[in-house]
Amino acid sequence: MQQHETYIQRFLLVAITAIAGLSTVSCSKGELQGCAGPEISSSLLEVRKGYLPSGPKGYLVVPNPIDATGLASATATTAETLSSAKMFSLSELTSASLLENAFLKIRIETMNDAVSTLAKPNASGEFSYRVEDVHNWEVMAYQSITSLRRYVKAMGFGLDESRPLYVTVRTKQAGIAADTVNAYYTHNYFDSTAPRTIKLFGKGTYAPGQDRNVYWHEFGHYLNESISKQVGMDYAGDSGAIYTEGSALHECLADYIAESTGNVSYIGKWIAPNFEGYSAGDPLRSAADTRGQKLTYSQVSLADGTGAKPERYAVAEWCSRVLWDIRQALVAESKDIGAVRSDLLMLSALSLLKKDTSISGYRDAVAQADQQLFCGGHQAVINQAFENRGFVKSANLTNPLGITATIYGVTSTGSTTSSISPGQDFTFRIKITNSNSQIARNVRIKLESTDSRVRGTTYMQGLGDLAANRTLDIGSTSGLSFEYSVYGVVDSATPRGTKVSYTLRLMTENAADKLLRGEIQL
Amino acid sequence: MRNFITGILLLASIYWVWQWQGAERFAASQADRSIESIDPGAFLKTASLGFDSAPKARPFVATEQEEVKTETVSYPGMSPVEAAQTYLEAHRQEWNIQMHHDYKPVAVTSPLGTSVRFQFSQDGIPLTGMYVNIDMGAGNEIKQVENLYRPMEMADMKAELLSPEEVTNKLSERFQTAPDADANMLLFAGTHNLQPEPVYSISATEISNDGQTRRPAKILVRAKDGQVLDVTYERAERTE
Repeated sequence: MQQHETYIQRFLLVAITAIAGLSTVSCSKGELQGCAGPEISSSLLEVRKGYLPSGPKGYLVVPNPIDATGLASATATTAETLSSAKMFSLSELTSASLLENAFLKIRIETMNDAVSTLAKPNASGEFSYRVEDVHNWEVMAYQSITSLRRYVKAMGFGLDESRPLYVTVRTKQAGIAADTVNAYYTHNYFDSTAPRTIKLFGKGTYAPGQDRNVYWHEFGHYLNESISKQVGMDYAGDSGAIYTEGSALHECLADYIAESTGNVSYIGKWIAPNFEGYSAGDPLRSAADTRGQKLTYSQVSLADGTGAKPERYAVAEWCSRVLWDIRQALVAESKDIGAVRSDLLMLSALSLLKKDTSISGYRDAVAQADQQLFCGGHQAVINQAFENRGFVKSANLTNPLGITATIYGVTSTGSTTSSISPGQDFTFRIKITNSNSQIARNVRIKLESTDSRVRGTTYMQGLGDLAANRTLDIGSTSGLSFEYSVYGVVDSATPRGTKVSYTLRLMTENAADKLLRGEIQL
Repeated sequence: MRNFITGILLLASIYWVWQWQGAERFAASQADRSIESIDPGAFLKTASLGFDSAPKARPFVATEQEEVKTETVSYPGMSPVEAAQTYLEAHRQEWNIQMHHDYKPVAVTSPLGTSVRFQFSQDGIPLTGMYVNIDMGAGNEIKQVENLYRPMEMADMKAELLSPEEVTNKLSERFQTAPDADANMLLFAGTHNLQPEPVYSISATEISNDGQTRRPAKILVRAKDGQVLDVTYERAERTE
């Protein structure tokens, strides 16, 4: 009997092992086919390195003299900078003598620069210029944007290239001072035939045109708009809002793609010294905590009515740390392809965003993209990344937010009037009170109208998280300036004496909207 | 007897393994279902949503504002642009797309699907403020349609209009323009208007009243009287 038991036990063990083994194999197979996301080939990993495969050569110091040499004191002309120049191929040129193709067109000052003023190859067919030469910046613009564009497309993103993208590396523009250091991206929402533009301003020691990260960041804005299907993920910001969560996300994702593609957790070491408070070698923003200080959401998001208010770049930096935490987890999960998976996740989430999105909206989009790409395999990582940095669901407010508003006309010189004429801009002094013991999440004020004669211009402002038991006073000398208010205009064809109606909508994520209706007596 | 006991035990072990696998399968089917609930292939139409009434709801969650239809439409074997165009043409009558309006599709893709946007124009002049956006899954199944098309009358291009120079001269000191600033003519499809209005999109720099802040901007100016209808700002790396 004992022999029989042993026999049976052995048989069962073999049978169970065989069946369980089959089961394990089939599970693994299913996982590989269904939940590992899009295939990440070795050629994609090659593309990610940023080298273009063929074409005329150009000499560049990448990403910039400080990062390339590791010296905070490096400038365009130091010996270490000169010796760190490397040769790069410039693929996809329409002709070997001009840095452009059907999509990307590199210029110096304006879109209308004469071709004769632009970079040209030497007798050997190479674009060989020193870093301080503006023609080198043209080469940097072409190489860096083309390499990032190539990587994003290789990941499976088809971009809106129905219009060209013009890049001016040392822009001249009426009304902008010659010593200005800045960079701008324009999507040209109004005009479906107008090109997109990236404009870099500045020509000093730390000129933005010399830094690959600046091009990647600005191209990141184009990617945000294209992949989000041009829903206007921050249309309020495009329309003049000082702050919205969408504007912070726009900067955050532009930082993220530059940082992740470059495999460094910061951006802007080269351009930072142009701005007050930065020394040579300091990054402009960092996706990793510095000096052992953990950055949490409440440190950047709170408006308390006494001076503290959210600022888009500070919130963007916080956001980039959340995304970097997720990236780190994916890299830990798979050293070789984790960064690409992270890029796929962050960019795919963009395609799920709605107009005037929020940080909650993006967090949900990342979770949804993970569900669709990776069967939800990183849900815990995503939630923890946001929660660990203080972004948690807020309890519903006990009392609704309070709001009062007074309307003013705005003259061409910016002063306010108590009466409003046809064709005149108008704005509001607004008081918003949170009489609860909890914060009000993502407070926004929006101007709406069902009357075609009233148009919201700066139609929405984001005000961040309103602290408990605090009041925001917008348009007062002691509170926030009128810049933080909403603006509209009454059509000039409206007869005097007419009344036109409007609505102010006060929104927060943890209470119902509150509407304040009013009329303008012209 | 020996065979009988062995058979019973074998059946029991198979049953136990089957149960165990069944639990796995059940868990997997739950996961599949959760994926399906995100991407049901259902058709959700957000009819004629103006910018101001864009849905606040998450995808596939209807709000009171939306007209929701559940029908599955897919166009296998076509390119996404062909599929979207076929869908648009199938709805031409329902959406009352006017013969004087042309459209141009632009597709963007991601690993999650394709989106085709149709921009409209009249006699080659872009209509700003109206479009149709069609989102599709990997098999060209229609997932969501955002329809901002409005069957507006033809814009009156014979009306007396200011030239770009005249319009620029009427701008207040708030906006500075270069002598050669580009000024493209567009047709502004205001939400409540019957006819689109000819406007110019002009590149300018907005200067704050104290002169401290200067922001590159595009302004939309009505060609009839020079009124500034809208402004969009370029996205700055640093706020001055």
